[in-house]
Amino acid sequence: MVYGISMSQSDSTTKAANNLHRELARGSAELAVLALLASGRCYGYELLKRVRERGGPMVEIREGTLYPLLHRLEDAGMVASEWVTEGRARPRKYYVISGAGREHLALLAAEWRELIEGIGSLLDHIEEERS
Amino acid sequence: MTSNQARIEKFVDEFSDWLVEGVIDRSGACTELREHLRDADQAGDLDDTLARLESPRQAAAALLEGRLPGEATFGDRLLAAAFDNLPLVAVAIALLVQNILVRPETVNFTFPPLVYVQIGNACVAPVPIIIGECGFYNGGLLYALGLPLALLCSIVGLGLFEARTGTTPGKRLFSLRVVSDQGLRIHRRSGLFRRLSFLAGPLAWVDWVPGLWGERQRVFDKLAGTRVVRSRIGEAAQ
Repeated sequence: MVYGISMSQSDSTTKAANNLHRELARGSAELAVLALLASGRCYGYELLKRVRERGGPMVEIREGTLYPLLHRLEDAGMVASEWVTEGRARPRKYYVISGAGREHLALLAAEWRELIEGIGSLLDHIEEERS
Repeated sequence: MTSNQARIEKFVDEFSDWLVEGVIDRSGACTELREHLRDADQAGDLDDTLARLESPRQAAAALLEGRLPGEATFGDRLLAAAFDNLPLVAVAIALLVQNILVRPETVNFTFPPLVYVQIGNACVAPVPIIIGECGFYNGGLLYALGLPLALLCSIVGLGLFEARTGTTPGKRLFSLRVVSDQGLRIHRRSGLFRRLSFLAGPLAWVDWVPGLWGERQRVFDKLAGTRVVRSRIGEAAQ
């Protein structure tokens, strides 16, 4: 019985951590994509690869999130796209951040940093109180 | 063609089948997906990429999530329907003219025309409308052949055409497209089902009643899980 309760608590903790990870990943995908595009134009697969390389395992964006996001950003005028055939037999769609996209990125980045600082300060404060 | 290339082409073909031109840039979306899968194949990541995409249907639905064009107004839809159903309108008018000529004392007219069949002594209709004996119309070749053909055109012809292309000639004229609730191409069953109200005679107008309080889905659209949306191509042209 005790073992059962322990397993259940462990399961619910893992589930809560997974939920937090999923929510953070969803909320930060736009920021991650705009930040990567700010350093230069990219095509879809290249963006996914860079997210994996630079964001580590905690930042994961899937195709099913990336392309709808890119198209929404394009509709909103934050990203522009161009079909490029340079040196290739087939055209490839590149995404480029726009001026509005850079402004939006600055806003999102500031919000993100404030959030991280706020949560960090909250956790520090609670730990201090405990000790 | 390698087996991976064949897998890519099959996936992209099926993905393309779910998309409706005008709702999204279909050929652009397919080219982009093909390139993505080829890049993944070159990086030795094709299996994982296909697993993440789940299925061509899921990939198409994900692409359209939150990006459905606005729903069409009932005014545009009625005009498109009037154009599409001209054969049925012509048969209804011809039945009226025939009625006036043969039996001028009682003029019977409904649109869509009433559908009924005499089985033994009973007059059977798809909806419970009191029509008494099967003598609402004067019968003859027009009712026996003209009406079934016009209904076949309105229900089966247009329903299958809509399921295949996402539009009809009338809808194309008014830049409209029919999609599932997710924005995907509709199934043949849905294409046929959403048109069955034509069999209800004048009660078919009940199907359009939600428009009175501003809704943009007919009753049969809701039951079939379909929506009529404005084409992005039309919007661009405007």
